[in-house]
Formats: sequence, C-alpha cells, structure tokens
Amino acid sequence: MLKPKTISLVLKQATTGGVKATLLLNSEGSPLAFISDSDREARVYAAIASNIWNTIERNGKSVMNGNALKFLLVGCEEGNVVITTVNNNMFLCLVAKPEVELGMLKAKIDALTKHLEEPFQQAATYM
Amino acid sequence: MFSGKNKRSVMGRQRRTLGFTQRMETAVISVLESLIKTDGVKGVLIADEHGLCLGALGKANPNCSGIIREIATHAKSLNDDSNSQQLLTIKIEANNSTILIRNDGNKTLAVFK
Repeated sequence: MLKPKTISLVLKQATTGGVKATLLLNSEGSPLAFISDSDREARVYAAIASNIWNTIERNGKSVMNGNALKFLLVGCEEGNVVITTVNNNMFLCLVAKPEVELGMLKAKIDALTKHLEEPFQQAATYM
Repeated sequence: MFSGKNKRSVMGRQRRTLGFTQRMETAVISVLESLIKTDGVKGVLIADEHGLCLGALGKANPNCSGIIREIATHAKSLNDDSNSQQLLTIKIEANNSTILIRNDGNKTLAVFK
C-alpha cells in the first residue's frame, strides 16, 4: 500500500542544505523511515524527539489552554531541530546544523507535512 | 507511494513534487544572492510570517528577523486604511547605513545598505 522506498525519497528531498537527518516516527518514537548518516543516530534522534514532544505536550497543557501542540522548534548549541505531527499519529522530525535557520527548517517541515498527509490519511482509511 | 489503480495519478504527482523542497531552498538562496550583488547592498534578510529567519546574507544578522517582522507589522497599523492592499516600505536611516523593510503579508524582506 505505502511504498517505503518512495517515502525515503521524499524525506531525502528535505535532507539538503545543512539538514543532517529527516525522520518519520510512529507515536511511540520508533523510526518508520529516515534519512540519516547512521542508523544509530536516527534511533537516538527519534527517541529524544518523541520524548521531548510527549513531555512538553503532557506538561504544557495548562500553559497552552487546552490547545494541541502543533510543532516544536528547538535551538541547541550544535544544531536546530523541528518536530511536528502528521495525521495526529506520526511525528516528522528534521535535525539540522546550527547554520540552518529556523524559518527554513519550518518551511521544509511544513512542505513535507503537506505532501505526506494525504497519502497517510488514505492509508489510514484502508486499515 | 500507492500501488493499485491510483498509482498513475499519485506517481505523476510525485514526479512533479519530488525535489520541491530543494527548489524552495534554492529559490530563497538565489533571491538573496541576486540582491547582495546589487550595488550598495551590504546585507539582506528574509523572515517568515512568524518572524523566523528564512535566510540572511552579508551583514544582516539572522537574529534580527523577529524585530524586522515586528517593525513591518507595526508600521502597517499606522496606515489609516486597514483594508488597503498597499505594500509599505519602511526606511530606517542611521549615520552610516540604511535599512529598507518591506512586507507582503507573509514574508518580510530587509535590505541593509
């Protein structure tokens, strides 16, 4: 139904211009598809990203007045990370070098989300 | 991405859209590079609707994207006609330099001269 190779090709398109890794994760933080320098790195990024998202979503409910978390931008010393949800049950995560601006990261993840949402929604209706 | 009867239309869309993020990035960089080559331009910056920096070249500091976006937003509120589609250009003059800021509703461009 969904071709893993094609999903990887789509993720690869975002892994340019300083983006080190692009990951598609399930709700538990396991990578479903990814482009990264190594498998181990991808698993580490996936685990940390899903953990950060779940922690902030759980503990930030009062701050967000009941609104759902839409995306996270994390600026770190050695890079920037952006995380968002696809179809409410998967995460998309981009990890980039520090020279990649947050605006560009957000633009890339928005474009990827828009491209992936429809096929995944269609796949979900078959299940 | 799908097999079956929808394959042709989905694959067609994929052929058109694969590479779309690379084109998007290239477009922003090429705009910045063409602007920085202009005489007198020392820096250029583009910010998105949230004030996040999409790209900056030259002496433009990427950390200024939020401030630049806010300046453009507040300048718009000075306009008496709130329904006006006019694009405003803000000019900030200092002793030795000038900053030009323009916002089209979504993206904000700042040119440092």
